Amino acid sequence: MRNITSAIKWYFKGLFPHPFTEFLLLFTLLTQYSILEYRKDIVLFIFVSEYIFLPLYSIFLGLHIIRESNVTAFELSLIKDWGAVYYGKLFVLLVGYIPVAIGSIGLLILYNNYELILPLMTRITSYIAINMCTSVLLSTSFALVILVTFNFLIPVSSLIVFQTLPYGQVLDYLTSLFMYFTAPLTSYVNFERMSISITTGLLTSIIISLLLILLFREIFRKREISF
Amino acid sequence: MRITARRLSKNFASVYALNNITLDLESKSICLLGPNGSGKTTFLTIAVGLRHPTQGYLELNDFKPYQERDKVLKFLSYAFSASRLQIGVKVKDLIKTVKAENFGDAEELMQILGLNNFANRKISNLSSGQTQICVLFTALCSNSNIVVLDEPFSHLDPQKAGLLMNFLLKRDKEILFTTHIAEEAETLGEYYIILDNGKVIWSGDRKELYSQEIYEVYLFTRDDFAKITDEPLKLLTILGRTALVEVSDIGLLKELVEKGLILGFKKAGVRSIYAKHNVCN
Repeated sequence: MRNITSAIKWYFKGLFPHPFTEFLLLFTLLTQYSILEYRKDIVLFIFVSEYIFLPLYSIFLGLHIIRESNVTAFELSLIKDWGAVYYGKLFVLLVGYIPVAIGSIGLLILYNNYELILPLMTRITSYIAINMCTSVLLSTSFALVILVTFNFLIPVSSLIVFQTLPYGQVLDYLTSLFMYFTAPLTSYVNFERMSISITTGLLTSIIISLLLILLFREIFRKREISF
Repeated sequence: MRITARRLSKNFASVYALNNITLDLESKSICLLGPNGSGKTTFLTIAVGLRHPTQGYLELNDFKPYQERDKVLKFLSYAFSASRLQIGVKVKDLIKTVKAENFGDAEELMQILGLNNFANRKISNLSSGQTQICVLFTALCSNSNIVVLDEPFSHLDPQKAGLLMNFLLKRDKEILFTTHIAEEAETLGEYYIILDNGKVIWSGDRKELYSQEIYEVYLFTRDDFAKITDEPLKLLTILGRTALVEVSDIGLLKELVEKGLILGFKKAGVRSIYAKHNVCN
């Protein structure tokens, strides 16, 4: 426990207050507010959140916890606990998402869009899972490629899939699940093209995220650190 | 500290970093030596549990470090040579973190290493020497009984290196370290393992290290050796302005000093083994 506290304190240094994090957070919430207040367009809210601000915010948080292998070796020597290093990063990520989650959910409640709360929570959970998976790679450049792919490219691709899907055709079970995991907000507005219901899809996606977090904890505890 | 290795091998694709090493030794200060790429750092990474062997096993105080990673970190701390660490944390925050967990030596080490001189800078912005200082500070402040150090003095200025050596000598800790510098090895080491191409080519204690009648002879210039070639000395190798010679009568070397033909001499330790086994020649 002492090691976990030490790890959390260590990984907090340099995250908040950081001018870019604060600026991005403020800009995200202001944009979401103006869309809900003036445009009253929930699809635009989803697109702006899922394709621009949330992925950017997520990559920024991810880059804070993704360390090169020599840095990880140093941090293990400092914190003296493999599990604490992993959980320290996880805790800092969770705290990092709290302001954006509270802000966005608060806006959705304020403008009576309760149905988007679960997709948004699913999105944040999958961001955390993807960030934790990439943190185990111990290579910033490789991790960045994975983050850009999962946070930007795949969600945008999912939009293309929905737009090009012939009328009346639905996605198969696995693809639907993949969509709920990688682009839950987009999947929500296209739920009639899925072969899984919204609630099942989103809850399954959250469970997959939690399993990934646990799986990659074990991978980290067993992986080699080379430099 | 007790190290036991049986048929220890580690390969990266077709390249063997460690090749079938068998060792059984106990010493308070163990020094790993060898040319670049000989497997020293790979040996250390297995010893601290960061890597697994491909074949065989290694035990440190009867623990297999790579199997009991968290347990090992409780009694061992380490510092690997690092020229840069991409961490956006200030040095003063590192000091605070280290001090929160450890007692005793932090203040003295901060003084020796001059950590306060750059406490307000971020670790990612430090020079290679300053980064090395941070890594060493973290490892040496730990309450662990064993300290594993990979080329600990490689980026340090000679004064800091000297002070740190004094610090390590007076502390009651067991050390496993690597170095390329013979003087560092001879000052800190009590047992020596010399690796080449992933194999142990020699191992032994200080007594065995200095058991041969081989001397380091210091010359004014490289050409000076020509002036003493008539003497009954067997030249093994010349390293810059130091010659390694085999001589049965030490009185001969004293005479050469008195005649002003050489600057001085000392019994060769690590360099004698290197010369005998054609390492780094």
